[in-house]
Amino acid sequence: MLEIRNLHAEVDGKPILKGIHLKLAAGETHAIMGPNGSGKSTLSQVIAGREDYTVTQGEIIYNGRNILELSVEERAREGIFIAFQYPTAIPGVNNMQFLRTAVNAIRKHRGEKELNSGDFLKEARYAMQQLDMNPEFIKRAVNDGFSGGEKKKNEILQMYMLKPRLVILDETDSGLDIDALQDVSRAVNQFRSPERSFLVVTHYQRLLDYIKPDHIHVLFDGRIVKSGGPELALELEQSGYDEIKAAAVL
Amino acid sequence: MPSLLELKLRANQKVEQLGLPGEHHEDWLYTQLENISPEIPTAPARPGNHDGADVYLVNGHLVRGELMTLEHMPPTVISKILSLYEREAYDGFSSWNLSQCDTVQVVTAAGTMRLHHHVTTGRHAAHPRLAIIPPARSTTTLYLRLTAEPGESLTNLHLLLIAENNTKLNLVLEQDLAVTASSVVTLHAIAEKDARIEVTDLQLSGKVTRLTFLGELTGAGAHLALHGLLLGYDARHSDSTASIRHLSSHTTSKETYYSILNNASSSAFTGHIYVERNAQQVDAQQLNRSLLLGDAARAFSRPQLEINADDVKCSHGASVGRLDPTALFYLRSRGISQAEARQILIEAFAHEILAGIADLDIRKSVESNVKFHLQDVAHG
Ligand SMILES: Nc1ncnc2c1ncn2[C@@H]1O[C@H](COP(=O)(O)OP(=O)(O)O)[C@@H](O)[C@H]1O
Ligand SMILES: [Mg+2]
Repeated sequence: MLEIRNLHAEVDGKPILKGIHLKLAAGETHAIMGPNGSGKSTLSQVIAGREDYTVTQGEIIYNGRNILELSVEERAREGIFIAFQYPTAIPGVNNMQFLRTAVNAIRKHRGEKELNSGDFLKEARYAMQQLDMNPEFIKRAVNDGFSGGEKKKNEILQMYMLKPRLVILDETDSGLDIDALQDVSRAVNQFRSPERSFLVVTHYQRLLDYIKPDHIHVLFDGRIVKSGGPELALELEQSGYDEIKAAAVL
Repeated sequence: MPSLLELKLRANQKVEQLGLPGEHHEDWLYTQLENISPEIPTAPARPGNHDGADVYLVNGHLVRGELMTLEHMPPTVISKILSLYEREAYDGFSSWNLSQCDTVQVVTAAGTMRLHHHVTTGRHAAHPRLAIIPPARSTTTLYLRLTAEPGESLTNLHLLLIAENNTKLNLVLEQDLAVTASSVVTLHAIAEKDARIEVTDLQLSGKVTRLTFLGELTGAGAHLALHGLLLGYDARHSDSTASIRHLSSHTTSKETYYSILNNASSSAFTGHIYVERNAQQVDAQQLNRSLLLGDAARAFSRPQLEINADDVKCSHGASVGRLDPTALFYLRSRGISQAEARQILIEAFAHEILAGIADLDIRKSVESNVKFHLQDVAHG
């Protein structure tokens, strides 16, 4: 599904990703952990195609194709979705119209016919119910005046509606109370399938109790410094990132 | 009290002496109406096909619908209107209009009314003059659309709005001319005790469009709102020069102007707020935001505050910005194309002004006109 080879990226001439290697097979869920500032969000956004970051070396192969040449929207239409750490509020843009425009842009790309507003609403209502989201949110402006938790749920609602193949969750757990965390995790787990892959970016081990990863990678200073099975999360929980930081300095 | 004819004669003399204001006049600094002078002939009466408006005027003349003319009004109304004309400060365009207008058309009925003024092609000027004076304690909503065919014409409109005791008066004014035609609207609005006037000024298209606004709050409890949307593309210029005068205690006003400009277009907003000596408990808010899409586009913003009382809340803010790249990225990351994402954000910006139009039918008409012109604005 996804293979990242020797990825280097910088912003304003400052290197942030310094040679990332990662292989994610269809149906797998990998977690990316690491302290603040290690480059987790940068990696997520570089995969999504954010133009503020310059890729200086390496490749991102998605379904057999190097996607570095594709624009943000082309990547989204090919099935890449990122749930942002800090979702953007867009005053004046209606959440429902936005989401329907997005759904239909992606359906068109897939050669499917447009979803009419009745079918769209039915599906959105169902998804919101699954997320225990107040149905009023679909009528408001995108993320405008939403609490931290509501924004994160709105990201997952979009994931549900857009039906991506590769999902990147960037610190989706931050800002969520335990009930919201469970709602979100349940929705994500229901969404897992043999054709879909997940990259779960998190700072804490907590989320991984709910969304169980197949592999865990530890990112530090723009490199993956350690990879392992699910037990790695518990190790990190006990020893913290200090050991990894110390090892990296040596 | 001078008669209408005497006022017309005086206006004519003034125009001959003083001419039209130009660059040398501070309030007209940004409004460059080249080739416009009082020598331009007055547009002739013409028949026309109306577009479903209740009242349809062509070149200043009533073609369809019913409006009363000033001389048929009760004497108290006549003297009220004439005395307001008499004490208006000299303004070249207003005086030119008064000297040339055929008659004063008066709207006295409450309710909702759609009016459309159209100027035919040619190098000429139309000088419609309307006075709106609905019954006290009523609610009136007017949608006045100004259009002009291609040609170097000028629509020189004068509007008087009088909201008496407890009256609600809403006006949606749309300047939507062919790109070679220009318009100047002089709007004098008076909100008396407990009256509310809400004006939405939409300047969508035309070579130069302008509103010269004079708002007066004369009684406690009066409220005046002026919202504007100025669109620009090519080398078009739009202008709102607004003076709001708080002449009584316990009065409030709110001005919100948004500009969206592409190419080498420009807009200017001059917001003058005056608070009379000892007019206490006044609240005056002003906000001017501009969205620049083109590198050569320019937005001028001039707040002017003149406050002569101490218990006054007065706020003003101005900002000039470009489309938010983070919001663009967010929309595109969901599969929406760059062009469509831009369009969505531009429409959202405009929508903040349109959302203030309370009458939903009128808002719908306006939205579709605005959307149409926003395509030109977005693509430059
Ligand atoms: N747009 C940017 N401009 C400047 N520096 C950035 C930008 N994005 C990220 N960085 C820097 O890159 C490093 C990694 O940031 P980030 O990817 O957000 O880390 P994480 O998500 O792991 O906390 C930090 O030092 C951060 O300051
Ligand atoms: Mg981050």
